Amino acid sequence: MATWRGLGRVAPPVLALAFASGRASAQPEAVVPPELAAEGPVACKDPGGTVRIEAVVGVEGAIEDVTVLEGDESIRAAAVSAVRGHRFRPARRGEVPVAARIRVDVHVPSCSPAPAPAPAPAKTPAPAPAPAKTPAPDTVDVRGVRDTFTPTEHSLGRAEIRDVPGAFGDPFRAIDVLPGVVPTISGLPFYYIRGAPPSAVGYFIDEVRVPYLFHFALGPGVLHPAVVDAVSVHPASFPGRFGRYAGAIVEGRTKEAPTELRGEGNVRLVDMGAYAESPLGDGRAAVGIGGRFSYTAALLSLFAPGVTIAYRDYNARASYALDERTRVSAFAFGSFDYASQEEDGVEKVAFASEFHRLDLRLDRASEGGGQTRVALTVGLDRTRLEDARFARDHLLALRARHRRVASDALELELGADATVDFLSGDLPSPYAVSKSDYDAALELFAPRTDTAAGAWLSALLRPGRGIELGATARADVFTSAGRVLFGPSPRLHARVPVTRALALLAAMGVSPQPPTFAIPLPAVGYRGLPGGLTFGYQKSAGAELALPARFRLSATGFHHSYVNLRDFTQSAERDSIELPTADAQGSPAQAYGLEAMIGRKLSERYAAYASYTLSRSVRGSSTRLPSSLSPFDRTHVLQIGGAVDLGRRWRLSSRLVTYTGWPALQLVPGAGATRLASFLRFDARLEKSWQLRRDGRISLVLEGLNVTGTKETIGQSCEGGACRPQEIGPVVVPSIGVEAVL
Amino acid sequence: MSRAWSALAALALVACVPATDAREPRGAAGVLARPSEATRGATFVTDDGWTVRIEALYLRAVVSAQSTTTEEYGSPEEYVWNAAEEHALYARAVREGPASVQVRLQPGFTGRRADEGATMLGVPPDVAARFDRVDEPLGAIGGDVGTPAVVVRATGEKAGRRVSIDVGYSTTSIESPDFPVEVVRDDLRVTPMRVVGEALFGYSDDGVRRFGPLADADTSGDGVADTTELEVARAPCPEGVDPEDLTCTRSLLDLLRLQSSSLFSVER
Repeated sequence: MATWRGLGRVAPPVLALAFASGRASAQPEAVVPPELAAEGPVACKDPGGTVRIEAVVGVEGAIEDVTVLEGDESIRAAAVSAVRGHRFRPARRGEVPVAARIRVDVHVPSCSPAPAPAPAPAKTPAPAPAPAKTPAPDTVDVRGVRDTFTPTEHSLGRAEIRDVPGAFGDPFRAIDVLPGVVPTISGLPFYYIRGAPPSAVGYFIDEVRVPYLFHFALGPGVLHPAVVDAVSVHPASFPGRFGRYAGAIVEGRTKEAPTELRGEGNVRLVDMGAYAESPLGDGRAAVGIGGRFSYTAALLSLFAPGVTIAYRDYNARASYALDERTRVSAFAFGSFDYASQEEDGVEKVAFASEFHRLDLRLDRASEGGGQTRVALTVGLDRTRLEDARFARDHLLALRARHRRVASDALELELGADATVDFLSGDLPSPYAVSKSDYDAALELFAPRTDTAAGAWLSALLRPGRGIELGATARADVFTSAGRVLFGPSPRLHARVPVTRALALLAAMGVSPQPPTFAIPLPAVGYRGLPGGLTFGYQKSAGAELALPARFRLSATGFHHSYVNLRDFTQSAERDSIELPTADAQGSPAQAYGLEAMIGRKLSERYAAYASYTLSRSVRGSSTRLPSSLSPFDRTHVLQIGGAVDLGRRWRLSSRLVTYTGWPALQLVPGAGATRLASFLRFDARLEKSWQLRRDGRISLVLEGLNVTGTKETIGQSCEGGACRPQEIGPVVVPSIGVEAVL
Repeated sequence: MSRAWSALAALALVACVPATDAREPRGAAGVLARPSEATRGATFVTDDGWTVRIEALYLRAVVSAQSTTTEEYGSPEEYVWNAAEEHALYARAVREGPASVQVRLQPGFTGRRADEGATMLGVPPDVAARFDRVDEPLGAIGGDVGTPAVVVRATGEKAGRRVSIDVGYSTTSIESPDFPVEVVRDDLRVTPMRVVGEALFGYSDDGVRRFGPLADADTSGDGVADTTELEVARAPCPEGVDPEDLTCTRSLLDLLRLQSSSLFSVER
């Protein structure tokens, strides 16, 4: 027997699925995942029906391999997506968590009031025999839990990410498809999110803070894509476990440990990488290792002789189930970047940095859907400054949180975290550099110990009918060089269904951040919290609407204001990008606008989406500092994309990206444009796959960013009353790659 | 297999140690400002018979250094210092090798506090505040603008008469002689420079030291010839010079400005 006990509408935090595992014993009833149920009334054009799915729930509760056994082609993707969207408490044999292969019928509603019995198309394969590892047909209990999220969060799963052209299959590069994410320059993975500069956006991998998510310039993400399960952008009212950033949070989550050997390798023109992970022994343990390194020399010698760009990353993890509820894991990962240019025979290093993390974690599940996590992270950040001088940050972080499902209507989470950064830098000789340079080095690199500690209590209330009300009380304390600052961070969010298809969303919060160097560089920051904390005041409200054919429309209006925001430069009127300073520039600042997205999941056989951001980002709004546009303001950002399964394992996807130009500097009053020219880019991806064994595949991927070779305007030069646009590029990134998945 | 692991290990090691562009060797070059006995407060007797004691002498100057091989300047540095004390004043980031150092008296920018741009050496707050003010008369020579480069207080006594001068004034850019220094990488090298406070009372026209005209400028009779009084008083006209000549029409304050060029000398 199988039942879903959904407590929420889109993503219930607790789902219980009881089933009979084993080969032939499972004859599950049809179940309707809440998210599909909600779409029922507006999905009238669909035939509806039931999809029989066989899936493996891993030892950590994640859905792994999913196989569709039966079901109409047109609704399979929706059913698979629904199942993949949840985590489960793993099955156990005795005291040991074990992977379990489950079968479940997922009902996709049609216009008919009652679920139709699952049709059995002629092509439907017979249920595959379970592998030898399949547990004995004992009754096991599987309970699913999903982390708290906020209604304005945007997420992308791996299956969707692969189909985003121009992202090169990289989860972190794919986030620019989401509304609210405003690019700086095409292809560069540095974004403004609701007016917040890159330095005000926090990057986390499995809740571990990292200095950046991308390799230098046009490089890929710092974690091999095979490890990443999903990425999320939290633009406002983040979950309580995140804090200390005034802008937004970008979060990457890794996959659960597999129940059988899993691997993925990629070879491209500029880099290659691989990741493999396997269970060990009786399935209690799993280990994985992977990495990526670049070999750009050949390509760069053709296009940019004298330029060197190199990047590498690695990751390794191991986990072990101490008992049925408790699992310990270690996750090590790191990244290295190097860029230089040869001038007069001397190699000038433009950028060289690295970071390393080791996260030791203990997760324990408790009865009723509760979860406890205690983790210790050690890390090293290092940025090369000059010669053999480096800035270093040895960091130590502790975090703990406990979630308790008090009732079907109330969920509580209590947590705390603390980070100690032991910062040191190789100061230059005070005689060899100018006084201002030395003073700046003292401020940024003088040995010191910075701390940040925070605690939070979150409550998620579900009074019924799909209503969700969330409140978080969080506060952080920051210390540096004897100075102590306190940053309260209250947050509220709500999701109120109006009809079965329409829900209203709201999120607001306050988010403090210590002074941060405007360019996110590892181990580089300000001593003594000069200028005080940055505060972001986040307000947003919107609605989401389920449309026919599983399309979904969401629109969110936002107004974020910032105090003490540190950015590259004060305003568009300034004539150049200024070096970041400890003093806040352009404060207060604000951004407001509308984010909208319509589409269906890219992992569907046919998918299409449009993402649109209308925004205005302003620096200064006081008598002291008159309001002016942010130099990185873009009024419109529009993306339209789609993917189509061409059959015979060919898949084509494309994306059109266009956005308004930056505000132009008025070099000559009355001459030239007030806005630089808009930019339009076209990305495309074509994949041909061949099946390898039962679940594997090998793919040839042709992909290109800006395949039409459009140049981007980044300024204008004026002479004699006439102005000419200054363009860069065209920045075209072609890629030919081979991917193999076991 | 072991070779593969060795290669991987080597790759990892190389990856983490990028350093190919060594910075050009640079160091600091400057002077060791050593006050004369009179500048330290010892009394001296002027040619017109006044016994004078310099009670306070504070200077603002920019120290610059130029490589004599590449003619490249290092990073100049501004100082405000107590001239009665010995201080090292230097420019940084000077190319290694022979260099010449110049010390240039220079007024500060109006509206900017002295300690924002200059390194303060032995300057009490009340004196530092005087370097921030623009309330001293300005501009008789070359239209000087800005805040003072020199703050001096001295007292002369003669025949039972006791008069002080207490004045802060700006100057045009007055440069010291060149001081040769051999710059060493990441190190500070200085050469001695004599600060001769008593030179303020010597007349460049005839080399005679006088305090009498300064004392006579105290028209208020309060015992202190202040800035205003020194601005109004005319300097003595040397014999044989046309009374209409600039030399004879300048104020005593201008004379002090002029004499400031003799404050620094190469120590023998």
